[in-house]
Amino acid sequence: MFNKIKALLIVLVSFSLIGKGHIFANPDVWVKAGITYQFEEHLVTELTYLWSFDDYFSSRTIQTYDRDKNGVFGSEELTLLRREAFEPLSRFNYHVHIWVDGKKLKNLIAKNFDARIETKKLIYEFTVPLMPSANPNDAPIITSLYDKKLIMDFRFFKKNFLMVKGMMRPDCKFQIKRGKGIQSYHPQPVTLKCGK
Amino acid sequence: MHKFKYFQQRIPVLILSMILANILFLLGAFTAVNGQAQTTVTMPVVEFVEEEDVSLYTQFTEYLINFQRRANAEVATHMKAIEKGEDLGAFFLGLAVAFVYGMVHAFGPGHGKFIIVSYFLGREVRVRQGLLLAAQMSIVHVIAAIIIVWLADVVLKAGFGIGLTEVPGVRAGSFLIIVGIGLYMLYQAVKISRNPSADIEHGHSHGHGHSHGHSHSHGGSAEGGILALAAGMVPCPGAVLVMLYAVANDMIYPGFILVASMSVGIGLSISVMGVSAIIARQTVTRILEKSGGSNSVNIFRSIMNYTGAIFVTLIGLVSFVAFLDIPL
Repeated sequence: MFNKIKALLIVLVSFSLIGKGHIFANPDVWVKAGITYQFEEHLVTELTYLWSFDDYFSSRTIQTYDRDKNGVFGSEELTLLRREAFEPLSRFNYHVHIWVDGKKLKNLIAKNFDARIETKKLIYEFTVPLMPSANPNDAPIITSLYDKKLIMDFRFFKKNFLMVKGMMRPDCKFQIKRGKGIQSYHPQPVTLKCGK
Repeated sequence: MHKFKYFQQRIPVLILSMILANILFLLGAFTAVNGQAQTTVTMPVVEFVEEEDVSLYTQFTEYLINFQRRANAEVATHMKAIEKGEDLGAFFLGLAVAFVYGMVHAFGPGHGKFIIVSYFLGREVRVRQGLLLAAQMSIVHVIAAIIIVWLADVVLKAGFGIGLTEVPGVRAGSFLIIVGIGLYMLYQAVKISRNPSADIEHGHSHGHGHSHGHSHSHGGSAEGGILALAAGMVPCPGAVLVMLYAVANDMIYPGFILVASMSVGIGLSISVMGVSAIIARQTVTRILEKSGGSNSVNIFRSIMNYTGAIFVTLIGLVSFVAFLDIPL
């Protein structure tokens, strides 16, 4: 009898793991990220992201696109990298999720893409404009980096991962807290609130 | 003289103008500095809010992700240590890290777990066969990773511009084989339900004086082998990246060893899932047999045969449709 219970328990555990597979992450690419909020006249106009990839993905991408092996992406190499490795991410909004006043922004675009190699690590930098600019005094702005397909895992750098450019009201506060509902899958959503 | 007097009268005005100009200049400079401060990058305080009602499941998931992140980095470190010929401790620690990393990694989506579980729910097989199939899958996983890397390194480098882990034929082939196996299982399920006394593979001879057929289907070793090949031939992208890293850094031997160890870990996790499915089917069958209903046993077997077959077919089909990127 004990054996049967044990077996059924194993099965239940196994199935619960399979059933929740969609949120049971097993990423293959690991990214450390930073974010810069651009303020203009107290409005958030754009977000600039910095991604630093793990050893393996960096190695593979550098090997593929730094064709002259000089440790720098030249103009042509960068164009190719952008076209083949970065632009396909537009289908997933570059894994950038933004909610303004609870409404999710769709069809995000990325501009000023740049890629470089720093101590054998691949670095991406790009900017996502908020159209229209959002006022954190009116409603909270929530931003998150999350790959729904769980191929990439995003975590912020341990230090100096969040920066502000421009004039931000002194009563604005940043908070990292896992959200409710669909946001609960996002590991590190950042909420920006101003005023009381 | 008259001119001198004129200048003398205007000296205070000139001084006042100079003072005013200085004030204006300083004001301008201050505004400029202030303006510059507005565009300067600052680092605001970020408050991390710990959640109080975090479920055990979420905590466990977070722990596993963090573990994988660390293990992933550790594998690279140990690969370098092995290449440098450091002590045996580094070698075995590297193997252990890669093994546990593979084991944990396999619990996530993919890696053929669902196929294996569906297959074993739809087939009456022994635990030993489940372990054998998982072992076969692990071996195929390693070989596939090496072949893909070889293709990437040797063939694709020639300038086809194909993404390294996205060799299209491999994925498409794998999904179609899985669909084929599912359809074959479905065919067998239909055949058995039409003729319940038939045993698709073979009849049993029990040691209590008679022999008879059963209305269940056994997976043949060839069928299991094909399934292991199909489920394992799409290598884990993580393993491929590790292998590519090894090739790029001239660490082929330690890369191979660690990817093999990682694949054994993946295989073990898949075995746990597969064996759980086998035990589940066996347990329910025995309970039904003991409760004396041979009819209910046959119904259960029939349901499981269909369920397993339909699931395997659907997984293959859905994966193939997703591969083709057809909007549904």
